[in-house]
Amino acid sequence: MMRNFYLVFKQSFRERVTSKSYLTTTLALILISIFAISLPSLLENFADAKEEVAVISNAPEIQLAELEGQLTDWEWKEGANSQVSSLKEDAQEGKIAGLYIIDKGESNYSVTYFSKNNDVVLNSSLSQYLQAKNTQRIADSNGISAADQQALFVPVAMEKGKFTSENEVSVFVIYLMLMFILMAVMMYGTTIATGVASEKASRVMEVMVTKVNPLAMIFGKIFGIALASLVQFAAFFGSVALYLKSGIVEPAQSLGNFELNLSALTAEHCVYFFIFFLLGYLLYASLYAVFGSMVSRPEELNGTTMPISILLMVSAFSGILFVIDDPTSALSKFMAIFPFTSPFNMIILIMKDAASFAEISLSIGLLVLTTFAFGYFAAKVYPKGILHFGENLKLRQLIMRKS
Amino acid sequence: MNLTINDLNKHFGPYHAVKNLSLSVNQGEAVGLLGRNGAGKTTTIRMILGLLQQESGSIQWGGRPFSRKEVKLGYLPEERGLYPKMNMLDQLVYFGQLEGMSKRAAKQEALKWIERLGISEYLKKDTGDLSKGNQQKIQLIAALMHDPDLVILDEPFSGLDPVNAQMLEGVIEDLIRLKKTLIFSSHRMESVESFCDRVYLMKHGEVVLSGAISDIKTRYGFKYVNIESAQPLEEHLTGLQTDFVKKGKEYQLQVSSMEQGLHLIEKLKSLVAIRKIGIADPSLNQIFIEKAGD
Ligand SMILES: Nc1ncnc2c1ncn2[C@@H]1O[C@H](COP(=O)(O)OP(=O)(O)OP(=O)(O)O)[C@@H](O)[C@H]1O
Ligand SMILES: [Mg+2]
Repeated sequence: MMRNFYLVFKQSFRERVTSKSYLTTTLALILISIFAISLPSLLENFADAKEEVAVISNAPEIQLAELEGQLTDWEWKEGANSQVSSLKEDAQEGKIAGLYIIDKGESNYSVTYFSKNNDVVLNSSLSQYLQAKNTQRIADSNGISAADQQALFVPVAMEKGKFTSENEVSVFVIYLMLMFILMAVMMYGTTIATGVASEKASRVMEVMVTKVNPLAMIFGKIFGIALASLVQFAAFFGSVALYLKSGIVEPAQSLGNFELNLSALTAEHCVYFFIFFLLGYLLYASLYAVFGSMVSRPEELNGTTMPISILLMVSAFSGILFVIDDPTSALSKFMAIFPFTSPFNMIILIMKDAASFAEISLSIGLLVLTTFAFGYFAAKVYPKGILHFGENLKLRQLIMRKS
Repeated sequence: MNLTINDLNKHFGPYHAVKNLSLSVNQGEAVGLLGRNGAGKTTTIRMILGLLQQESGSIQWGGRPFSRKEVKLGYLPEERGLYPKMNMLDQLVYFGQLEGMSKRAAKQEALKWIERLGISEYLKKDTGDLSKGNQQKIQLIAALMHDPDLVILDEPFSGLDPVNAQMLEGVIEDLIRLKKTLIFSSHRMESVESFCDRVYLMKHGEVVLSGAISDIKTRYGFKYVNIESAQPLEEHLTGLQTDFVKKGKEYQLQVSSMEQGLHLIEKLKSLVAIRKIGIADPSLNQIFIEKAGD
């Protein structure tokens, strides 16, 4: 029994990891996430192509070198008064971002500029710079102390406040976790169902059931594919971590408007996440196995596994919709302990520090029990489904059939 | 050890697929389960294996209730299937290991059989890419490589060319020599006749004829007179009021006994010039058509 479990386990794992679809999804996952991580830096690099700006300074204290040092977003180019007409042409044709002629007036500098696109940022930057130069000039001539002069230029401190406290896992990270579990369970559950259905369709099952105990068969398959999925995730997270560590890109602190606040994620959180992900997967996998044995061809799976998909979605989205807002309510507690919904909702409670150790243990215990109960149930009913060819079985028939 | 089945019954909905079926197979004996399509052969076999649950009746192995787990079993299902994306050798080693063989022994045994059945050239090919007959050979190997005591083959001859059919006959004869208990279903009467000790002929789920082939033939009570003549015989035969069939140049007459046959021959000899004449037992095929047909 154990030996055959191990053989089926090994075979399922091997079959999975050597399949083309597995290799391509793994590779695609890695490439897509690396691309997504790099995107902000990539965009920055594109913006970095600096535009050229011609400047003709008729004020001796406005030096090109200083401009270049202060306004680094543009490529400054010094022009002579004799070049005005040709530079104007360049500006008109868009070859350069603009031509700026700086004159010194009575009380302040004045700028005449020629620009096709009228770069507002450039204009205001240059104007601020000249304003500061003017302020400094006045301060100099009035003998203001160096410290006061410096104080003149200290900007007002503005800091963006954070909505979540430093040591709370952000809502966005919880969303990501739930989505991850949802996608992974669906993806690998479907793999299991397809595996069972194609064994049935290829008729190899009839000889397999005489060789292997169905319990060993079901659990071997489920665990084999589970290991394959873990290997896939390890490859995925490992290569993403390596990529981030390599320093080629800066990890983003936020995604769009969401703060990631990853530092709040403790090792304990990660362990619980892993446990609930794994148990949730195993429970749903046994369901998928039962449903896989009900169809006669793998193509018919989509319709048949719909109830599982609905159950999964309801579990995940009930979490997102209300458990996350009110993790301490009785309903949330129930959802976090009831198997099927617990893999999603207990994660929320744990991340929100709303579950006691006893509650977590109860949830895990129930999940393990139900997983084995359903695995056992799957092993009992699926040989019956396997030998039933022709039209698809209904779940009720599968349970009632004496075979 | 021997397999004994008593009074087996099975319905599919209202349809009585197997009716009060009893049969036995002794060690070192090959028993053929015959019958037309839908007679209930596969259903019977699946009940023996416990793949289907019988409604009543018992199945015993060596005097004890049959349990799949306690018997070293080799089974070739009618609905053949392999893992299409696995190569031949890997697949056989996997099957062998599932039957408790070590990896090495499984590989060794698989290679021996692959050699014997002449499919070595496909060793590393995915089984999904092989011809039907060759896939069937792999399944036969999977059924036999772990040296089972009870061998159950559901239509092992279907899909095999004459050369391979002969090879399979050889394999089965070896199994008999090795004192295995063997039961198989078939439509190929020539093969069944050549190595089967006993047969059970099923019709609509019931055994309508059973026993040793020679006994069946004598018990069957018919003999055939085969006559070949230069002239057409139709008129004379109609005059003699005997049933006959014309097969090529030969006329085949059914008679109930040797005496009647000889009598008929005498009569015909006086009427026409006869080129060839003989009396023979019916072939199993003829009995099959007679008994299993409607
Ligand atoms: N799973 C099933 N559900 C419903 N009816 C079935 C099932 N399996 C077999 N039957 C019916 O039982 C009868 C016997 O079928 P079985 O497969 O045993 O015949 P068989 O003798 O093996 O025929 P063949 O020579 O064609 O293989 C057939 O009428 C068949 O339609
Ligand atoms: Mg059959």
